[in-house]
Amino acid sequence: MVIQKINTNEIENILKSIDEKAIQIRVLQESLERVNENLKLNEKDFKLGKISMEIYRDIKANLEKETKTLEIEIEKIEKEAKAILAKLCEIMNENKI
Amino acid sequence: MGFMVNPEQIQNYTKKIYGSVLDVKILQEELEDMLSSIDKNNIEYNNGKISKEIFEISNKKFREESLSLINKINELLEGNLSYIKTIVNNLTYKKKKEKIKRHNQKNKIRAIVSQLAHKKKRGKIKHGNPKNKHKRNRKHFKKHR
Repeated sequence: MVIQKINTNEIENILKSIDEKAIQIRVLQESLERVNENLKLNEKDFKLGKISMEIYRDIKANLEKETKTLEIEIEKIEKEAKAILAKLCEIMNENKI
Repeated sequence: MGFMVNPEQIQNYTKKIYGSVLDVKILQEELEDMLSSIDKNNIEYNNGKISKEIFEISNKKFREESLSLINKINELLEGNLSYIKTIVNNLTYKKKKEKIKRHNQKNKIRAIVSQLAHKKKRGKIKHGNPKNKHKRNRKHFKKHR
């Protein structure tokens, strides 16, 4: 009698991609944290009178744009990782007897 | 930003999943052998090569072992599903917290609104300009006369 066996190679690839996605998310989160710190610094500089209103607004707009981009990217990778995990769940359920 | 994804923690879980998957494969192979043994035992009995007693003893033993293997496989797969759940939670921890915070805030607002409505019903809160209080009272008096 032959029974369907679990495909270890496929699972190995899936797990590798999950690890990669986790690293990617972490890197982006660290970038996002740096951008947030810069936003705070910019505000502080403006309050101390180190920079003009115009420069403050320019920097703020750029940093906010960057924040949005990073957040979108993080969300995208998170979604991809979840889709991969959902597939992994499916494989586990398929192999139940 | 307080929460950060911990790739090392996720890697630990993926390693556990992989180890468990390798075990599942070995157990599936063992199960396959066991099921072949059941088939062989049946054929031998049908061909009259073994007695009914031996057939029944072997059959019971093979079936029990198969069942135990199936249980082990399912347990490992269930364990993997729980690891996957943990990974998903690790990826969405922050959002969950924010959701709970928002939910609590909504509940607080609802409680305040319902409290106000209750007070209004009991007449503790009167609307309108307090300077016109005497006018309101006069209207009320006329209505009820």
